[in-house]
Amino acid sequence: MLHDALLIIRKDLKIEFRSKVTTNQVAPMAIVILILFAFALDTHQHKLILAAPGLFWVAVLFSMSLAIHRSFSIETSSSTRDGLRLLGLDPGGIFLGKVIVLTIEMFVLEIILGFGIVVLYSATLHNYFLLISITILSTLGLAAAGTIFGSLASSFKTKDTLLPLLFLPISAPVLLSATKAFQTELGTVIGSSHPWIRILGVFAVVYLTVGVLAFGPLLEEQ
Amino acid sequence: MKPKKSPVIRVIGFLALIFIGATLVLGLKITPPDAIQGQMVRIIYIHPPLAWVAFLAYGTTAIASGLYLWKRTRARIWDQLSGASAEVGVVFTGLTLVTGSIWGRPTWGVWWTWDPLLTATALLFVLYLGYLALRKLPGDINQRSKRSAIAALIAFIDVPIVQMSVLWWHSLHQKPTVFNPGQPAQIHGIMADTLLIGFIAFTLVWLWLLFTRLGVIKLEEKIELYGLEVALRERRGEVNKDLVETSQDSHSKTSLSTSSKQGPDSQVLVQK
Amino acid sequence: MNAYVEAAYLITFGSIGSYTAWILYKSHSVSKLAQELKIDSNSESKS
Repeated sequence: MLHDALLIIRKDLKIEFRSKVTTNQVAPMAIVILILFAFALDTHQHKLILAAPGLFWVAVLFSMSLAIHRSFSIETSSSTRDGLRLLGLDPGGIFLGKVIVLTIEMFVLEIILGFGIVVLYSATLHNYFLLISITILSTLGLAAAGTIFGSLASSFKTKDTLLPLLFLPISAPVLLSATKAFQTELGTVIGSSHPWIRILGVFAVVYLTVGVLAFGPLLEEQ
Repeated sequence: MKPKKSPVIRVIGFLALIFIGATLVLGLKITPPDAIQGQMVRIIYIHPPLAWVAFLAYGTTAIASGLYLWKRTRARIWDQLSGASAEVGVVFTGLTLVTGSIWGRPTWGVWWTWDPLLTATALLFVLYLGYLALRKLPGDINQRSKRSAIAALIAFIDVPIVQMSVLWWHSLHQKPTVFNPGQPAQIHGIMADTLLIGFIAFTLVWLWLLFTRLGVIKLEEKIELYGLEVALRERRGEVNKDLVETSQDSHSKTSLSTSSKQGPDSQVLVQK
Repeated sequence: MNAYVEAAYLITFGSIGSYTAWILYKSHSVSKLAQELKIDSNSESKS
């Protein structure tokens, strides 16, 4: 399973490295979202500082639904999906591979967004280790849920509109918990981030498990 | 050939009407206004039963989806049942939100508050709207059913996680206020009876709606299959006709080509 | 009677009533179609 996952990771990263869709299109769009939020909040510096953690994660969610869409369009465009199945790759491995690629891409984007909130919203970052752990944990959970829904919605003609409708509500607990954890770590709210990290962990574990189990039936059809 | 209306469904429908009538009379006329809440207490006779039915419906959807996904129990009926139940569930969740909001406006002074129950219910509403959207998509029926079943189970797993996160989120702000039943209204005597009748009434309504809707879905699917069969048969008929024609064509072509092939050969022979 | 209470009851029973009416209408039209197509509406459908 892990070997198959590695294959998928290598393939998708190579495609991404050549096409650079995530870095050239999704990342700039995420920055645009940050700028638009500033307009919506009337550029009051203190409001922006307070809202920074939430806005960061909302920007991540929207960019993520684009990235998921991208992750599945590279499979359907040249019917690689059938190819993957014919190669006899383990569906769980394909799923894990997709999730990890998505996590890596989104992590790069989150670093850019992190600079964005520091520069544009004057957020102050410290405790980098914890911030990065929270980010990776949340992204892993989101990527897992997103990959399941991406494959659910793929091959339907209306997948572009269906995917956000399915993906965004399901990711509400992550948005909430990651925002809360960031707020405590960025010092805008006093409290402990540990309960939130626990929810993020539960979310990631649950959806990774569901994905590994459900990906077989999802691929075998058609 | 009228569709057979099961007598059980008829009885359920009849009882539902009686209990709804009883709820209306008891809830709006007979019960006294509450000491603290005044007339607003009357919403309590319908709001919790609506929420209860919504959760019953989603539970049914989840169980039916699980049964559909499990290969040993896979049957169309489970997919149809989960679809019917989710649709009724969405209607009742919507009503739960609306009645809760109407109750909240004079009680709290706002239409909406980010109470954990409210937030979780609203998310559930959107999640199952997505599920219904997935079900409405055209495409292969078995593929759609399998995907919908997976989506329904994922949505169901999300419910406790949502609950946990909104509860913790909320605990940082204020104490729970909705349906901490003892606090807002002391419910006893005839009021408790009315609430109980309300629960029975809405559960019966749910059962009736569920099975009637299920009947419609079953029949619709049968018509769809029938239409497909007819289309296939027509197609096959055409294809057969085409085949016959093309085979005749190809026969004549092959005979032509063989004759033309014979041409040069014979010429060669002649030349030799 | 309180306007809020009236609104809540009206919306609730109005919605359930119209949903019921819609289902009954669908049930009627679908069974009519089935009758025209001569589909046996009582038999179990094949999976």
